[in-house]
Amino acid sequence: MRILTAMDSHSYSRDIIPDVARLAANTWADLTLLGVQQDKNGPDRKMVEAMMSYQDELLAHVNREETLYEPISSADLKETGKGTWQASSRGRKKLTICLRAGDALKSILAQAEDEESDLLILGCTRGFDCEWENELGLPQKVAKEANCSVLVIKEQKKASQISSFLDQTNVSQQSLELINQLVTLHDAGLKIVGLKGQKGLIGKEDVEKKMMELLKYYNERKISAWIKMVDMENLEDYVVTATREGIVALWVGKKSLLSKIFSRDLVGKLVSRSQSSILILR
Amino acid sequence: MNEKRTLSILILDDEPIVSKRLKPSLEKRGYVVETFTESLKALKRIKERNFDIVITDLKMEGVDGMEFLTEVKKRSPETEVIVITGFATMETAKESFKKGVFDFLSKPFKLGEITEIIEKAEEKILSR
Amino acid sequence: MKKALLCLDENLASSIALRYADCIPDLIETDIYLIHVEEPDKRQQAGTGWVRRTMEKGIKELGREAVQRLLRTEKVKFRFKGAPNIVVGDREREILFELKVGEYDLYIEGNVSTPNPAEFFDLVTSKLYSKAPCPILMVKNLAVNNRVALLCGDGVDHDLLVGSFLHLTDNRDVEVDMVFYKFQEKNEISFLDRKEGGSDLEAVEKALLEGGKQIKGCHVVSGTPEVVGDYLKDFAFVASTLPTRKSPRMEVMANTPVSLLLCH
Repeated sequence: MRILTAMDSHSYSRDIIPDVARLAANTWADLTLLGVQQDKNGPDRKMVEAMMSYQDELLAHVNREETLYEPISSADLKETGKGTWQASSRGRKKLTICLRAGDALKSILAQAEDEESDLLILGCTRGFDCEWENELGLPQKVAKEANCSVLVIKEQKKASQISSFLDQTNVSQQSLELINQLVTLHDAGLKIVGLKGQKGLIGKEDVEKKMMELLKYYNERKISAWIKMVDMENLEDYVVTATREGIVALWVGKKSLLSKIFSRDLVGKLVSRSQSSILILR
Repeated sequence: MNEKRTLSILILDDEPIVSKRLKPSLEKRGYVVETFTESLKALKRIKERNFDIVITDLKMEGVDGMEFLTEVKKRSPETEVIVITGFATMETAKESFKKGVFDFLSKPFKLGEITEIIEKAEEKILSR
Repeated sequence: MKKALLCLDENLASSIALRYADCIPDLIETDIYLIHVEEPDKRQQAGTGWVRRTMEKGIKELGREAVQRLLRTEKVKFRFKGAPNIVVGDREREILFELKVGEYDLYIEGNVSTPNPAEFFDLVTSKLYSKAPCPILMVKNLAVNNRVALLCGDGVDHDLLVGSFLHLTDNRDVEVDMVFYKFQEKNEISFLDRKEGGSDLEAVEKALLEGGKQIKGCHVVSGTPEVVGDYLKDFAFVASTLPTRKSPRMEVMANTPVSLLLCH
């Protein structure tokens, strides 16, 4: 499993380290810490310092019981492409620190693509905003445009359940496996949420079949899973309630009907309304 | 002239999709691959012959992956075992390494990730 | 051996109810019979004599195929009693008729509606639910364990609840929790002192122990129906009396994702 963590020098990026560390320590994933900066001439001193301090904090969490990653020194950062500086270490698993200069969204998406990441994690400001400093709507854009699953962490919280919305039938094996890891990590239950509009379930019989398949899949794996139907008009309230108890997830497919129904983009809306973490599954 | 040894790989995962994805790709790379979705059948097979590399899931009905890999290492300590799991915890990873596994990989993973690990295991085997 | 009737349609609710059947033997010692009702539309009801009989035969055949498809898809391990009974007519009337003539101990059906209290109220006060001659098991999800809860308080006839529950679960080693609910406009669950449950709770406990049940826990809980409904999600089912009026307890039952045993 390859995890990419996108960070800047603000506190919301530091706040996600305990969550990233817990996920990495349990899954023994290859991990990349990506820092984004404006200056294209060389590694920004402030950003390098921030990344090194993030690394120290991460390793203090992860390597407590087992040395999973070897530390990287700032001197090891080498230019690997235009506006990209990178260094890796090989402990039991691979740790990479990378700095990319330029547009933050493009940098994050390019890194995820280059590494074929399975999960991209980033933090954001709390409350009903979900922002990065000086980067309007960045978490929402990353969640919407990345090719892999994205976890946006607003506030560190123990998740007792994961509520995952399903409005289409495009559910990848990778997304099922990612849910498995998260329910194991949090010892949480899973709610498979269907949405009912005026004409019944969004996605009709196809989604019903997929919901049943998912319920069976998790039931056979002894994962506590429940089907839950929510009225479209109560969706936003439900999201707020669900985030109090854990992670809100959304299976995103090319044919996602919800995004067509909503006047505003659904992913952005969920990311904004959620008060803890939101997981976009691909 | 030294001919490159063909390595044998056994894959055990109760989700058929895993073997379906891995088998053709590994065969293309020249490995001889046998796949199993039931641990009891795989257990029977390792009693018949040794494999160079065993790739096993952990959470399975019947004999679980931890018991299976213990049996593999008991019968053939030279076999390199790679654990793949959809339900990873720090404890299962540590226990796997205690039992001498070569590497531990959490699902989801890309084909490139597991072939990289297999290649490293191959290097180790061929350097003996 | 008890007798239960499970109504099937070709939908998600029935798929869940079918799969739930696999865990029923651990909770209730019962044979389960299957029924499917095809409701003809007005056009199909036209005609008399041979025309009507032929039409009904065709509708019945379609219904039989639908049920067979469902049974094939779900591959349930539970052995149902006899062949599915395929009936043409008004769903409520036909099920009620079968429940009465067949002298069943339990009626089972799936339900995957939203937690909308008005919708739930309409269902539990429908002719089928209110006139059913036996308790109703409304299956909302698969069971995650064998523990069940008795939801008490707020207008529950405790003698009726315990009596029906014991009748259905005798001969079964079912672990029971007693949950006494008190409404509070608070978005998190509070666990109150046991004495808040009053003498009702003591009477329920006494009756359950006399009935040979193991009581695993006794909880007096308060909060909104949403949070209390969610708190109940780890039980195989929650038993309570059939609500006859809108109340916070009814809303708990509407909100919980767990299956309900409705006694009346």
